[in-house]
Amino acid sequence: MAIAEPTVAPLVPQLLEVRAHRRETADTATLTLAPTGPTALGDAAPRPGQFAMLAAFGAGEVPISYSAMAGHGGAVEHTVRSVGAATAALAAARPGDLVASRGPFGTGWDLDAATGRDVVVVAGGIGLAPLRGVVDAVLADRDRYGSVNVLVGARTPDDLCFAEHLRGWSARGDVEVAITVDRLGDPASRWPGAIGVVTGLLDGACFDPDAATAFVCGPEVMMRATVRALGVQGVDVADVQVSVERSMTCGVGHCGHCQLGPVLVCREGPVLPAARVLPLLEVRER
Amino acid sequence: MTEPEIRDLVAGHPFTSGLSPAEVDAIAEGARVVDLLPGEALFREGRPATHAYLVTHGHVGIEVHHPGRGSIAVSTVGAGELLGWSWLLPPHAWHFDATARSIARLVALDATTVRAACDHDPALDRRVARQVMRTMTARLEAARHQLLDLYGHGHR
Ligand SMILES: Cc1cc2nc3c(=O)[nH]c(=O)nc-3n(C[C@H](O)[C@H](O)[C@H](O)COP(=O)(O)OP(=O)(O)OC[C@H]3O[C@@H](n4cnc5c(N)ncnc54)[C@H](O)[C@@H]3O)c2cc1C
Ligand code: FES
Repeated sequence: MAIAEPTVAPLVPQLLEVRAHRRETADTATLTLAPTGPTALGDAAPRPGQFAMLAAFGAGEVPISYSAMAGHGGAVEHTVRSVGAATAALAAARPGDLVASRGPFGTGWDLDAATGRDVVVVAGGIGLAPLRGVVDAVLADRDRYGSVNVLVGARTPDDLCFAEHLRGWSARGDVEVAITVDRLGDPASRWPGAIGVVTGLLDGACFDPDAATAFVCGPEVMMRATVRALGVQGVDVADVQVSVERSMTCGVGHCGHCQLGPVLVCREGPVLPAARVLPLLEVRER
Repeated sequence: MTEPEIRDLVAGHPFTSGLSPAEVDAIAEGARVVDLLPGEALFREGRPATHAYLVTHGHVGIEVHHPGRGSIAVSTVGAGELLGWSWLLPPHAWHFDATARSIARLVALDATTVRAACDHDPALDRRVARQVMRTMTARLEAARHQLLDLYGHGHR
């Protein structure tokens, strides 16, 4: 997780065109964004876990992870959950609309650390967005890793993002996908799967705790509980990476808005070793 | 399934980790395997809790019956987990319904046998109580997190 220096002018936004809009859930959408000109991303293609500062005009600029890395013509995907003005405007963008993007910024997941080891991905809610690239990268180079477990928690069955991808990963047979929901939401729901918190899925996951690397993203309470539960299973905290969120303005280490103790999350994070960040998350903020 | 095969299932279940072979034998006496189809009821609220269930495959839903709304599943218990502890404490009656949500296999330990073995051997009693407490603690923490609605708006 070396500190990444942005390779494009960090404060100059690029115009990206919305090429596709896929509704994930009632409040979440995935946008496919492509450069409007040939220069755009250049060799600064994003890596899983990195983020962009995305702006919908007139609504504000916010950090959003890449949920799929540069594909055809430099197109990337971002999955946005509408929680306020900026994210609502982004989630409402339609093909043909333009958005502004700065990035890629931040560290990204250290996939090299998992070479030859079992991979455990634990995602809660929209936390699956920055982890989708990890699963795609691991599956694209499947022989490089041991067992692969993807454990996903969602609020209700209707709040599950990337349902199609989860089905696709499951169908491969060389990755274990387990999903749980906190509640059924609609009591008449035909959800056939687990109900309970995502840490409960660890009991049924098959991996060697002495040779496993875990990638965790979700609400902070969920991440703290997950790191504890991984510890109970025997996974060393040194083998756990987490992605943390803080409010961000510049995204490149200039303004201090994203400070978490001594860490500027936009530069040194958002992916950080759990051993480093957990004690900081336990400090009570007002 | 033969008795030795059932005993092996019990010995391989996380609930009995830390128990000696003799202790496993003591609690596994009279155990049987229960196979359920999705939607099949295992037990109902208020009925005598005559067995401790160790889930070895699939998911069983813990449900609350709500007049007019039917049974609402509030959590599931999966492979490797203990299902229920009402068999341990008087009045030995279930507090919830349990219904399979997938094809499920469980080992049913005879509650009278387990309690008698624990009464007879304080070390086993402590170990069984500790395992049940571990399950209860995990469920309590899970229930608190579910109550927090962590994936709702306003959580980071
Ligand atoms: C590195 C990083 C990566 C991120 N990746 C994604 C992503 O891929 N997809 C995505 O949808 N979001 C992501 N976020 C979160 C996103 O940046 C915020 O939701 C956004 O800044 C909110 O801005 P707003 O103007 O829409 O809402 P605001 O008006 O700022 O906030 C509206 C309400 O939402 C709450 N809120 C604000 N931020 C969050 C948050 N992070 N989580 C939950 N509630 C929040 C506020 O407390 C407030 O109640 C990421 C954040 C960071 C730091
Ligand atoms: S957002 Fe400005 S320093 Fe991190």
